[in-house]
Amino acid sequence: MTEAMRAIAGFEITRSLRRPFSWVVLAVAQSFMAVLFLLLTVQFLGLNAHLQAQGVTRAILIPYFRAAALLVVVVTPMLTMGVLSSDRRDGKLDFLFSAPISSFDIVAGKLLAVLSFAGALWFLAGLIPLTLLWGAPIDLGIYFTNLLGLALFVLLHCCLGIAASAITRQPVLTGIAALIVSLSLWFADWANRLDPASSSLGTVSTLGRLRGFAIGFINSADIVYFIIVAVLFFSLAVWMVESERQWA
Amino acid sequence: MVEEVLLSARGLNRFYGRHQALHAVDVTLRRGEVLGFLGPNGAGKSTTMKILAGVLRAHGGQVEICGRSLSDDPIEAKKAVGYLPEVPPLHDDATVDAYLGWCARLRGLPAVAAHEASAKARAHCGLEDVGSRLIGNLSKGYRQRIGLAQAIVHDPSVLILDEPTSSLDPAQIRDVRELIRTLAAERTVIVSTHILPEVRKLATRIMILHHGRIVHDAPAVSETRVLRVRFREAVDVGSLTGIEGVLIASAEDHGAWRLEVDDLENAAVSIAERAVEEGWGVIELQPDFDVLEHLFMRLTTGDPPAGKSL
Repeated sequence: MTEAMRAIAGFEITRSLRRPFSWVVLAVAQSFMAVLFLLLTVQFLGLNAHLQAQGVTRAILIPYFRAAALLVVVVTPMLTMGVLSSDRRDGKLDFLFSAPISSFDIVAGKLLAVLSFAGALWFLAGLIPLTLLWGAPIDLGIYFTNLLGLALFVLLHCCLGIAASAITRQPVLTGIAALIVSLSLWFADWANRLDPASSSLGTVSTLGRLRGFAIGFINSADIVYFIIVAVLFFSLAVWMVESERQWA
Repeated sequence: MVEEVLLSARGLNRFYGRHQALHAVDVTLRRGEVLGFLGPNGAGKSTTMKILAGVLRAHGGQVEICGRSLSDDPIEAKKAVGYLPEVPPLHDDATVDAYLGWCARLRGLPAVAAHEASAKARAHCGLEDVGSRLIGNLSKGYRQRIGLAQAIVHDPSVLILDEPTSSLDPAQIRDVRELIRTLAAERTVIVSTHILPEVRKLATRIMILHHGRIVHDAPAVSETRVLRVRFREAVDVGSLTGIEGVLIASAEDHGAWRLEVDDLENAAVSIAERAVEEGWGVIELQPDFDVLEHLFMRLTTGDPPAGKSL
């Protein structure tokens, strides 16, 4: 990591912590996950024999992490929408261009800042299910594969958000674009269910790629998928930023 | 002694779609020079400055900063450049100290050196009292000075300043002017502004850009070599250029004349003596403070003054 990346990431994080918006997003997301966890637990503790037969891991842990992934789909565009677009709009990207740093450094620094914030969300969301350990045995293997899947999912969506943010100067527009692409990738799995022959759509579905992690199965193809798509979105963002220098 | 060339740009071209914004622009600046960069809106000043600062890529031509090519070795070349855009690139939710420290780190200074450089830049720009304040809570004048501080925080050899005195009050303008003069002693400075008196007081060279082309590039003309005169009687060009020390005469409105002379005091005496001899009746005889404005208007409006031009 270069000094410039560290400087950009550190400065962005400091600024984020000064904004009430960041704290509100963190608080709302954490509250949502806590309430969801509570509902799943209450449902499990009720006299639902079918759920109890599945065990606490299948009945609470797996749906909890799936809901956490859906929350990432909604929250990440909020975190990333202004990252590059508002800098472009306000001329601050020009200032970064005048500094002795590359477009790669600029995008990587911004991504690190967003990942730090999203990483805090991931960490806090990951802590909640551990409270089950006080009263019930959970499968820690499945817990950690879910945590790994969610981490890769967060990485992909942060890169997607940054790429969307590099395309236009309007933060709201970039947020909507990122949300549409995220949801499309999520629901591509449905096409697979409706028509099993259309397996090509199913292979790009983030939801489908999470399924293995959810049941404790680590497939290297799924890991490679998340990393490759993240790298593609990151490269798109770097290319868009570099194009701004060339053609703005 | 010929000073070292710190900035050299050759044949800069830039297109926006099909529109060519710059046509083979050349700029060479030596240590100690302050270039007053003028031109009407849309002439290509900001584009040129952005290319020189490494913000935009030129579509033709080469830029060298302190001997390093901006296209081949951009990282090292940019370390020697300080840039203040027209709108200072400030972050309202950062404190002045944090922002300047960040700027210094982006310019390649290590953390400890960045802290010292930030303190030095604050002192240079009169920001000692607001180091811990949020930028968003400061006045326009302070914001402009923060913009200037970020441009000099890494002690660059080439300073590119787009409208550095906008939003400042007269006392602050004077301070910034003095600061630029001080900085220019060991550097080269490009100042773009629409305030012609400001350029007159600062620049050692004037460059005027019009429709993306350089239409004037020369050392700043001393105003002490131009006289403005007006007589009660009608006088022709030949009579004036025949006076000792008068080089060029140009007719102006309301019977006034602009005279370029070799020596202000001697020429003024000669003109007064001739006016008395011929009975022209002197109404006005004074140094002309509008040389730059005259030049600018002539080159950018295509409206040459009557008579023999400058």
